[in-house]
Amino acid sequence: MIGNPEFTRNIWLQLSWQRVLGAAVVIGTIYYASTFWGELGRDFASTGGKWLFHFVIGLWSTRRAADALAEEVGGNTWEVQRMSGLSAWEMAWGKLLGGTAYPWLCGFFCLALMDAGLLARGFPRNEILYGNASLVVSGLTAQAVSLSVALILLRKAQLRRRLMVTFAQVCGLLVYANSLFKDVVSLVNGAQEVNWYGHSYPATPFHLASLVVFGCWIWLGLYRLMRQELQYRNWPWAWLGFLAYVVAYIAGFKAGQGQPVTAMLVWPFIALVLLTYFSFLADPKDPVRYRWGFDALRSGDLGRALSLLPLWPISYLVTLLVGVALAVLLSSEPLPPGSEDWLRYVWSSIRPDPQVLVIAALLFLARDLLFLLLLNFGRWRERADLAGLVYLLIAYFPLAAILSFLGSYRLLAIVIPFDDHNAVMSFGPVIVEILVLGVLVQRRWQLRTTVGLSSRTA
Amino acid sequence: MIEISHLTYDYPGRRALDDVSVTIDPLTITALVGPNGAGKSTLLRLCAALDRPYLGTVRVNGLDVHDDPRAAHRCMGVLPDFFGLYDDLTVQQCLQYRARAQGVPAEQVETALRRATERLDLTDRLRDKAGTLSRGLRQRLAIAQAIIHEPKVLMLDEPASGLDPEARIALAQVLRRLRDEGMTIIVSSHILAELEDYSTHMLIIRDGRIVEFTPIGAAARQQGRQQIRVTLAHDDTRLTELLQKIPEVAVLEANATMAVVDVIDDADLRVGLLRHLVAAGLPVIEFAPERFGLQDAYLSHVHLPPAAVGIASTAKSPEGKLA
Repeated sequence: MIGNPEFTRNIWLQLSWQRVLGAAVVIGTIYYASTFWGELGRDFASTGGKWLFHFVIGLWSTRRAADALAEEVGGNTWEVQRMSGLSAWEMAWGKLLGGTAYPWLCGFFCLALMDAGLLARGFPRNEILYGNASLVVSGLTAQAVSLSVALILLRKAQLRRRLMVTFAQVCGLLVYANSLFKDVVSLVNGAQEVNWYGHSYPATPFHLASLVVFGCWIWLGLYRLMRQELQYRNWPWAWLGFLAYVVAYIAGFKAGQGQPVTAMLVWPFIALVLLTYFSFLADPKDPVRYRWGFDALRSGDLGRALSLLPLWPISYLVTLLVGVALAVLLSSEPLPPGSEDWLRYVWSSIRPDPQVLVIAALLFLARDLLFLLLLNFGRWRERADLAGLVYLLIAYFPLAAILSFLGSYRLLAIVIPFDDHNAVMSFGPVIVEILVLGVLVQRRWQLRTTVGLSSRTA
Repeated sequence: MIEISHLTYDYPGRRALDDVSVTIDPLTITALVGPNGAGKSTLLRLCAALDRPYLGTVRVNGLDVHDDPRAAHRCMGVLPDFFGLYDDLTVQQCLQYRARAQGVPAEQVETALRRATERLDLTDRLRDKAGTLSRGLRQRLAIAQAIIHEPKVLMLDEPASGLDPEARIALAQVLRRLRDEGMTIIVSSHILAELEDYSTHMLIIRDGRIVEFTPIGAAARQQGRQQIRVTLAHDDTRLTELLQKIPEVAVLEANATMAVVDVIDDADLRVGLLRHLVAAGLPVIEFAPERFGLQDAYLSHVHLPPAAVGIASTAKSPEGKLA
């Protein structure tokens, strides 16, 4: 037996000699046929091998990664696994690589087919090597995303539906799509160099290095989700580290080019807003655990309070810090000409002040979180996030569009971040919304956590 | 062996376990019983470190299961009610996998596998796939998986549900044997008659609180007490009065025709008690140890108020020592 029993078990189930032989025969036959068609055959081998790899790893293995968990849950073996002596790391990589062992075997056959075609066409070996590494790292990252999303859905008690497994697969697929995206980008602008923190880097290794680092973060996230599932305490430092990394990574594309600090902070701020939404949606939002966290804080047990702290308040706090810093800096360092074009595109009829929009965005983010929290503390928790997002999307797009068409610009500040050139009118409505929602959330939370509890600890 | 201290757990709007504390001794089989929703499964899940409590600790073999769940799992075996088998693996693969997953060193896996299959009588099924086994065999395989790493503590949730009578008898034998071999066992079940066959203790839980934790059957007798049922051929109002005058006797239930008394488990004392009753002219036609089953004990605590089962005062008069 190989060291990791979870990996071995998956190999037993995945790799029978009939399946291995079948894959080898199919790919071998394609390659053999291609050798008869000269240049066309070599083209076919390289392109076909690559697209087969995309299909096998991008589409199939991401499904297998999510299924590796969904099958355990459906087969009632997951709880037994959670009661085993396997560590979180053994569980994570054993499931991820073991559950996708057969797609990977097929994927490596596809790479061999692609490489044989490329070598026959005279492609440089180092380019082929970079291409292979990029595809493999994309695949590993995409699978980790699929399994991580499946674990998140499991924590939210939503993995039993096949649609949710498909959702996890699609998340992995979107991450895998970066390998296709890279090809498209290089086709469109032919960029060979990337400027990052004032240094020029060749595009291909930079892309690969970025992918490897991002993949490492995803694997770390997967490991920590698995730890959480196995009832280990997690501290929030890794998430804080990830947020810092995202800010630093994105800011690097504007740094060292003589641009103001504000230009460096705009895209990290937007990324942080999105990550706050993500961390909020990923959290099970269990009102009971929130109460435990508050109780721990009240009793001075900071360690327990931190381990119970959801990630979204941390994300919001970091977003708030960056947003406030951006808003303050904008008064002394306006954005360079041209960088506000996207704002004007969105608010075509007016000239919004970026400073006002940043503050309004922070307030609207708080409003959205409170609104979603209110729904999550209600009766239909399992549908709360999806329903809430639909309501918010309606508010942000159709409703805002209708108000614009009707010329009711003054009312826009109720539904979207909007610069009315008047602080009260720009921020007043959303502050009122926050206060009302805050009171409702607090009431509903108390209702959910105290009814039926004894007086000793309630 | 298992120390549960101030365990508290909540579901939204409901306290599932409320300050539960109990210590379970080694080499016992504890029947965990209670009505649906009482908190049995939650208690087992917390003991198995599947969930974290709001308050309190669970120590198994001295180890806080929530401080290091993996280490705790290596010294406990858990059999869930759904067995949790991989249908596409053979019996041998299931056991090999589980042994390694529970931390059995690679070089000891075959020995552990042989021992577990011999204990559960699965030796001739090693090449069968788990999915092809009957329910009784699946249950045996699941127990073999749970004990393959020789845990100190074994927890079973509804182990006999869906089993035929023969398989239930076999299960009782297996559990008794495992206890004799050094395991401490907790069994959660609704089938009280089956629990009675092998349990040494009963832990009744209701509304998230422990109602009773008491030895039963042979274990209760080991504690030096026994209940005797006395039945008369016809009514005699002196029966209760006579029994209440004897200080060594606690009257649990009595009327003009019968009585149930609690006495020290001593043969001479019982002989003396019978002689005393006969000498007083009571028409005794039955004088035998009371078969006060687990079911009766459970019902007396869960469904019926104490008065309804006739538990009388145990106060004695100073006179009337046994001759």
